[in-house]
Amino acid sequence: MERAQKGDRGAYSELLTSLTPVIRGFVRKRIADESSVDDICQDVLLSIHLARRTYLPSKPFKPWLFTITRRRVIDHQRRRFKRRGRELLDDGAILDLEHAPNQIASMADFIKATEKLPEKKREAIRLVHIEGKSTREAAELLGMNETGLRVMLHRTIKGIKEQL
Amino acid sequence: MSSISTSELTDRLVDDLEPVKPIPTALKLWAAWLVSAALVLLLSSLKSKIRPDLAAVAAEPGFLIQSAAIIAACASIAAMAVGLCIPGSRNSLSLWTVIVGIGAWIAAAGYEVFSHLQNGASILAGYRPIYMCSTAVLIYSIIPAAVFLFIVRLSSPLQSKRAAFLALFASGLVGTAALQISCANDNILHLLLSHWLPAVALGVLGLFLGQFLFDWDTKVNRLKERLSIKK
Repeated sequence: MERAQKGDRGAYSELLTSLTPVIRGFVRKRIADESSVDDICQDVLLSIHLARRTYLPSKPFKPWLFTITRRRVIDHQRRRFKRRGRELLDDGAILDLEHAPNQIASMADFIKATEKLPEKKREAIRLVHIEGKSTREAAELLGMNETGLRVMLHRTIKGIKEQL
Repeated sequence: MSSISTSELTDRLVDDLEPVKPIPTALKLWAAWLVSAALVLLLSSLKSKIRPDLAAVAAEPGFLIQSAAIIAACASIAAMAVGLCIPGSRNSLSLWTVIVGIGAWIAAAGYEVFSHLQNGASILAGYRPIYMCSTAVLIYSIIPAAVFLFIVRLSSPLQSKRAAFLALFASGLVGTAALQISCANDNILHLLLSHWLPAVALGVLGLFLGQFLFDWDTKVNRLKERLSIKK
């Protein structure tokens, strides 16, 4: 890194290439969703590039690197949590925290109701509302576009709610 | 999902590489800020009126504990803020000093309130809302705040909101410390509302400034744009 700070491109390329598997391993241990690992890994590399002047050659490199990596993983999880909250609200807020005592029963009925659905709809609900994947990830897994999936989820949930 | 592969990103980052000068160590940055804060304290004691009973109160343990606690909290919060700006330089000692500093101040203030109540006096008795003190805290904190925001900008605040909050809170406490030697009103409500509250308010302002001025995600997105990476 010290050489990279002086503008040595060869050293920088070598450094980033050797860091990539280390960062990926660190991220993989903390993120269950495999499809996000590469995104976070790239985000960490961009952050390293931006923060490279704050590396102090007299100090050890690992704490500097892992502070950046850990922070970006936390930021990713926070963003994901917020997005997921928004998606649940958009889709009709199946889990309503204000009515927590009824939540488990509602969830059980809800899962039971999904059993009667066609496979694609059931799979979509399982991925988004039970496994907690984002609509983007679920759409990719189901081979459909995100908007189509959201519309399908919205209609399906509306139907289930009416049924319940 | 990113639009390019990691190896392609690495190549673009390498192409974008420019030589950079490493910033000073966290200790040096912290020391630089402490010097600016000390200068403000010195100037404030020269410029403004020193409380007439300073010699008498300086002998009271309560006053000494409060003053030491403010200075300890201020210096430790500043150390925490600097630690957040330089990855890998954070230490848990600062957090404990902040807890001990603020805890000591609360204990000393609580003891005073207790003594007041034991003597049958109300804590409202000596309270007057003096806006001059709040204004003075804000004025004294301008220079330390400016120095600190420069330090935050110079470094890499991955937790931008928290770093800016701590930076401005520490700067506000410089004003609070300056008033220890110029304001003769020791009423606990006055100290809380006119000396401490403006410092906290400044910290809250830091939360917003941190979001707008130093947001790390915005910096990453700008870099992506510069490297022509689709978001």
